[in-house]
Amino acid sequence: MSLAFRVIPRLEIKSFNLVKGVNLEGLRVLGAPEVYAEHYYKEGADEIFYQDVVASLYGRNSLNEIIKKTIKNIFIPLTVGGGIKSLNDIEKILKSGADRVSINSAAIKNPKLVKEAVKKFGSSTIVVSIEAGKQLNGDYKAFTHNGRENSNINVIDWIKKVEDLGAGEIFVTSVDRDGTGRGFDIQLAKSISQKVRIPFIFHGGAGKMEDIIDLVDNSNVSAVSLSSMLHYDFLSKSNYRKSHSIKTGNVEYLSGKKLPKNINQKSILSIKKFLKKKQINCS
Amino acid sequence: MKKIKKKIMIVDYKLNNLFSIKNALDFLGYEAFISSDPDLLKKTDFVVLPGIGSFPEGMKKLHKLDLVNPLKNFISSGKKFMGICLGFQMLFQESSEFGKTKGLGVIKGKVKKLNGNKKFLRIPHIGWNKIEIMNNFKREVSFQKKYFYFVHSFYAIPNNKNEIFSLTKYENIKFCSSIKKNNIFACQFHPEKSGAAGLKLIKSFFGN
Repeated sequence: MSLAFRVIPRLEIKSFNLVKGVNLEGLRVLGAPEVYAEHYYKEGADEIFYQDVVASLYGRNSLNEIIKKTIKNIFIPLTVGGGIKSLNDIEKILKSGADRVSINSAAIKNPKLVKEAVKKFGSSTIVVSIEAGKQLNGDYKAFTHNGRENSNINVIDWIKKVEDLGAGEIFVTSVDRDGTGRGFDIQLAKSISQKVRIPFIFHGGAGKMEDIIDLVDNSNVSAVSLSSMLHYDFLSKSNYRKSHSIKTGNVEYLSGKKLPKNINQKSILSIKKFLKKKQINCS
Repeated sequence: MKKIKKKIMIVDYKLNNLFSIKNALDFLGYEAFISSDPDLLKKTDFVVLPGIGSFPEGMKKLHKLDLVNPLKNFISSGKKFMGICLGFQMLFQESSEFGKTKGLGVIKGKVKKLNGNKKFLRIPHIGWNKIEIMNNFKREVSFQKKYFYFVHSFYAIPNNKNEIFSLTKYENIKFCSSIKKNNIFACQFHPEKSGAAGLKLIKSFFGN
């Protein structure tokens, strides 16, 4: 493979704020997404991923304004997901300046949407996002509405279907690892690698840089997506805590409460340096 | 960034979102504007022909908007012209995308599909890949190899190898990822989406 392995910051957004929780729950407000996105761009991110985490719950979308602000200062691809239900929604997001869109809940409800979107906007523009929840018997099911609802569809079957529908890439989050820092669900990444050819981005569980090596060594993932490690690094090392003016939501991390200890705070710069040292081909 | 008193017309042929290139040129300090008006081509300092999409559709739109000859005239005037992605491919004589379509013919050569017969070549070619600057252009940029962002399924083959500015390897194919000929620079990758390296390349071509 001559394509570079990508490092993609994932920014979860609730109304106008960047948030982060554990297992997609207990969201803390971390600040303005465009500020974080610009920082990650300058540090060498390969792409930025925005996910509106409440859009599919409340059916609203405040993302367009954030997208417009963001792309003034970042010159790498921007993928945006959350609450996308129709070709019209996709067009709106692209017109605001996103390069790719990511669909989850609506794709499960209406798989034809993926096919139509690929036809209209090209496969490289359409990402399908999958929230994989591990069941007691070891199976993985696809969840929707930010990990709240179980569709009862087997994750691997769903990925195969998405591949047939023509999506350009999939974005997999393991719901039970998200925000925990316990490491990636290697078993899930392995079974995806064995059964499908569609390129995939893996997310959920990274707590240290070695977790990424573990993932790359055991699967053919094309990109890793990180959130807690990067967000907490920025929050603790920048002056952002002093300069923001956000008062709504759970702002305890912004106000100075200690950040979770089980997650190593690392910048993109140091992560990429580490990956290169481990012979991983990245930009 | 410092303001640069040069007007750059971004040619809008109604196929794409042009924010990315506009934002990049604004960020670099140029006076960039988006237009489909052939008359404005006579009044601008530089031109960018961007684009993602199919070759036949792109050429159809250029014809419909009466932009074909004005664009050729602009290029032969010697003023700086940059083509990006489809705007790069359309400079060539013809493409085999959905049957044969004639291009602007400013650069001798053809556009072909990335070898789809090979089982393991993933198409489209999406992501960050290295460009390798050719010997005769090495003095024009400060790097020899760097990663740029690509999204495409077709690639161009120039007849004159001296016009190749950079090559890129994707699986078993090595293709021309950019060309330079007099006042023309055109590339298959997206410099406006390639971070700092991309911005630098745009700036080094258009200058201050």
